[in-house]
Amino acid sequence: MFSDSLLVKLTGVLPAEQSRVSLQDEVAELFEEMRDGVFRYVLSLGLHPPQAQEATQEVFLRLYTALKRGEPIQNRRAWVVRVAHNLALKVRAQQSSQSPFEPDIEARLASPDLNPEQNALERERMMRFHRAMENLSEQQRRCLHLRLEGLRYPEIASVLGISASAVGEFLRRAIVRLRKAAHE
Amino acid sequence: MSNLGTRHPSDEQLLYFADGEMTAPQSEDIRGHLKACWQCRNELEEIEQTISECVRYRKIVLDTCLPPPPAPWFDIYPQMAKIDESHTRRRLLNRVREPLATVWSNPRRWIPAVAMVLLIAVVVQQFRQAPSVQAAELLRKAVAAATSRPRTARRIRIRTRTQHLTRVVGNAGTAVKTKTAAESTAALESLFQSAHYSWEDPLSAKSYADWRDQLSDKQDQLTREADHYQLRTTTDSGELVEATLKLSSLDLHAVEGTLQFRNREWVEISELPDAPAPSPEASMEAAGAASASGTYPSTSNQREGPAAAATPGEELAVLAGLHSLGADLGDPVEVTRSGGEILVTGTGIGLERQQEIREQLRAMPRVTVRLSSEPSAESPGVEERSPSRISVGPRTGPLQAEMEERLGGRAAFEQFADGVFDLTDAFMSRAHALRRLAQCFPPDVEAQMTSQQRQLLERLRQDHAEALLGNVRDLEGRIQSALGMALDDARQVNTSGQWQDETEQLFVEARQAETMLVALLGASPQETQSPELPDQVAASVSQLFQRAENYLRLTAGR
Repeated sequence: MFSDSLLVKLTGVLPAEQSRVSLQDEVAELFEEMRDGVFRYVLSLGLHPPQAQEATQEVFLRLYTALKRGEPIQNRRAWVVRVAHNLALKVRAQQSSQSPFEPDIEARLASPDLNPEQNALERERMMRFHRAMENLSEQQRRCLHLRLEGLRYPEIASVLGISASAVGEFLRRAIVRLRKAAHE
Repeated sequence: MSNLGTRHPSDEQLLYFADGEMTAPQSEDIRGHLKACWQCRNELEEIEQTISECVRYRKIVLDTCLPPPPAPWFDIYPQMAKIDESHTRRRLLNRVREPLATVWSNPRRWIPAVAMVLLIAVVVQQFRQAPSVQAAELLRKAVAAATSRPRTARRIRIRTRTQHLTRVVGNAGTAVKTKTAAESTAALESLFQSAHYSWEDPLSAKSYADWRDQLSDKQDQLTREADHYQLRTTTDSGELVEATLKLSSLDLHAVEGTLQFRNREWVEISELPDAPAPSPEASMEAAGAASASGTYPSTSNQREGPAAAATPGEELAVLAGLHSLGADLGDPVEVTRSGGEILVTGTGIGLERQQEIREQLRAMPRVTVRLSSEPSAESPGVEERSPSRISVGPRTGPLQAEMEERLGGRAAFEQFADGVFDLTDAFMSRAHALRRLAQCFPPDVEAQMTSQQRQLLERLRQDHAEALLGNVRDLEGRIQSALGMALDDARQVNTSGQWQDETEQLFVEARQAETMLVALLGASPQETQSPELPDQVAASVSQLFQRAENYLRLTAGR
């Protein structure tokens, strides 16, 4: 092993500084990778885009703070989504006088300008799938969103405050519903 | 899972398999079955296609149709640097000096300020020990407390992804399985052994401490709530990567635990009450009244002491309270009995609905309601869908075309499909509610209940069974007109006598019928093309009807 002084000579930075920089890099990398997904997820919880962006950024700073404090976080991705979920609900509760954000996906999906390369059949197909998604229950949709973000059943369970077996059941029912739209 | 050589895995098992949420032996069983079974391979392929479609949906629809962030993302590095700076600056002395300087000019504020500082000092002192030391100390005390108590048998409930067991531990160690635990516990036991965690007494401070002590590296987290300590240990070594243990703060006995294994299997363990407490009878009268009138009288004068475990009677009273609101149907609300309290949890519940639930359960002792604030979700207990939004798509198979013709056109077929989906959802909600009752009140628990409690339980079952039967009857009528065939009502079903077993059978058949109906409406092209599908649907719905009728008879006749 190198001594601290040798490390300083070799790298020009102290070990503590090195670890701080490395932690910052790790969080920055995760931020880069996950921010769009987290942003979409908090939008789906009813946050308006400016609040959603602010909440998303806030979550990664909280992650950095927690890691700096030495909190044991086994799965950072799950942690980020869980904190984002709770923060979004808190923000929504504080701003309950404002109506929740509801994007008009159907209108945008129907617009040929959006994806000119997509043919009408493909758009129709996606529209059907979107409607099937809309027809899922709130819990089924949330489980599905979180699964799409890469969370495992116990992690989804911890985000939503339900049991892992309930997550499995919600996903099963969602898949049964969506199969119909997927196979048309 | 053990007899998959002869039985097809359920769609739930296939989904768990596709999602990598099964233990290695379970996955191996499924893989073996899939090698031999074309039908299940096809089923799995369709599940995976649906998952792919979800991923496509995310990429095409969500990525392009949702608005982008209104501003460029911030540069996170300067923000993190600010956090570093503020951490450096905010030293304890600075934090204390500033408020002190403020209060110094106002002597009247000294006393509360000084009291606050002292309080902080006490709290800091309490938490100064490293979590690991605190955890070890707490476990040591809990083991000592357990050793000093007389060793009596106690019942615990073990839940895994696929099993649901009630065991007696601490004495002869005899295991009593509910009907739902159709599979052997051998795999689970061997999983515990490989993780060096005691299978004989999995819910105890000693077992937890023994496992924790042999870990080469570990991280502990200890939190204290009003009535319990929650200990969480994570590790990178061994088969068990995370465990939690909840200890009652009163006598440090273990009331709940969870285990997460490296192979992603998980286990939830909770303590069941030893014997029915004296108060539930009165509590049940209240619950019965609530079920009838929709309101609860106060039961606070019949509370048990805070240390006693919550009883099945109390859990039943909560379920009856939720039932009177229709909140025991559909998905969002969960009821769990944990140590000295009944936990009612749920997310995605509208504020008004939350208020109703809280109001209904307010007078009930030892009930903790944790419903999340979600203003956007105004969903009631039963899922709501807009029937007009179910689309059956422009391309349909010959079966759908035939039904379209019989029903009088595409619009009528779409309406029919909507109706079938609604009814399927409705009867599945009832089947789930019944299954929950059967799982919460297995025969050994029911045997300890009072006659009033059993009557209330029976009433709840009867309510659900009647509604389920009504849904299936309605469904039969619609299917007959769409398929142009009479359903066979002469089918006989075997009954086993125990309502819990019958409930499971009813649930299985309801799910089968649901799967068939979805296929009939075009979920799977292959199945849709199958000429036998209408007969299979008719047989399945008819069988479910017969089963529901028998179930109701069994319930009403007891």
